Amino acid sequence: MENDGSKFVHDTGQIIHPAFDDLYEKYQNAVFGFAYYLTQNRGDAEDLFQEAWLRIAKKLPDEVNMKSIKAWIFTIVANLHRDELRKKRIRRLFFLQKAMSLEKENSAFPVVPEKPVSINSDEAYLTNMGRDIAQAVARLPDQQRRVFVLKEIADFKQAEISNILKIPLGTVKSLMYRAVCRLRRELRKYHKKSNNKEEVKCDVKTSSV
Amino acid sequence: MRCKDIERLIIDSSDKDLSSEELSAIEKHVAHCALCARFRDDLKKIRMGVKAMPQPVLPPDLAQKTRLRCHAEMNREPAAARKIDQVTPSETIPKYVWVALLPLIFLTMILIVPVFKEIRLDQTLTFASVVALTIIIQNAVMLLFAPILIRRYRWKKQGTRGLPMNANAT
Repeated sequence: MENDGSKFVHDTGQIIHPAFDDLYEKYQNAVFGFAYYLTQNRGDAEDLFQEAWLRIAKKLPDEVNMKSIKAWIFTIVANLHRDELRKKRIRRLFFLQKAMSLEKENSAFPVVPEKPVSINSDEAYLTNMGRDIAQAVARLPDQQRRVFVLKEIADFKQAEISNILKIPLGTVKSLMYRAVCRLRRELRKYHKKSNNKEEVKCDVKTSSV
Repeated sequence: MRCKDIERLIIDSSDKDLSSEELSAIEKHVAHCALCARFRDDLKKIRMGVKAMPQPVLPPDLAQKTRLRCHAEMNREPAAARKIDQVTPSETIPKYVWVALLPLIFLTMILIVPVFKEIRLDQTLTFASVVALTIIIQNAVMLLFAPILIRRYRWKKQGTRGLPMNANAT
């Protein structure tokens, strides 16, 4: 077997790519999850998933730096999704996609069927909360959702997200803050009811004194 | 610090790159501010809920199909690159195109002089000038699109049209 950078030429002449296979094994589910949360639609997620991996296969560098490769892969997915959104916006402008967008608006977040609430109250509570959060995340505006998913699901730091989405760090922080505030509002039923403490913003209180 | 700043710091704290001063500022603030304490609890709950979120399942046939397509793409790439290399040397614009373009450029230059004269002297444009202007614009458009059309024609002729990019989309 002959070694040529990131690929091997087998004795039979077939080229195999162990570096690519390792990456694919490691990140295929994460990429699909990210694509799903971005597109909110199984068909679009599958298209984005395939397109992203084809792009990765095409552009895979000979020297794979495992530290930065995850960010690189997610950058490709985010860029492809952004391009697709642009195309859709143009198509929508010409009223070509009205029917499709209406269809999408009607679809909820059908990842897995709702679990029966009978098993264990804690588990049921968590399952319901998970489902409600998934739906709330799906309702976030595009940019906020992208930042939230990268931070909380893909586990990137805000500085890395800034590089991936090519937006300033301050914008990432602000989008993340707005996403959290919105999720808090939407998931109010899961949050603790206010107790006897006076819940006035302390900075407001101090300024009024 | 205002509550909003503390709330932002609470979100940032998961990145684990806050300074000890910032961390102690959060603790100090949260100790006496019920709203920020609640914000922190709610964020914890949201994070707990995110972990419990239903995960989209990658269909195994899609995973397998994509892997095979990627391998095919990676193995085909050298062949495609070779094809492009063969095309590249002949990509210069051929002489007959220059022969056709040069008189057009010459004609444009001649026609443009009287038009400029009329515009400079604030005269109303005559019919001849309007015709000349039309020809100039037509020539300019031709000059702009000729190389693109030639290139497209060549790609089509050599059967390599759209190979590098569009092959992915199918």
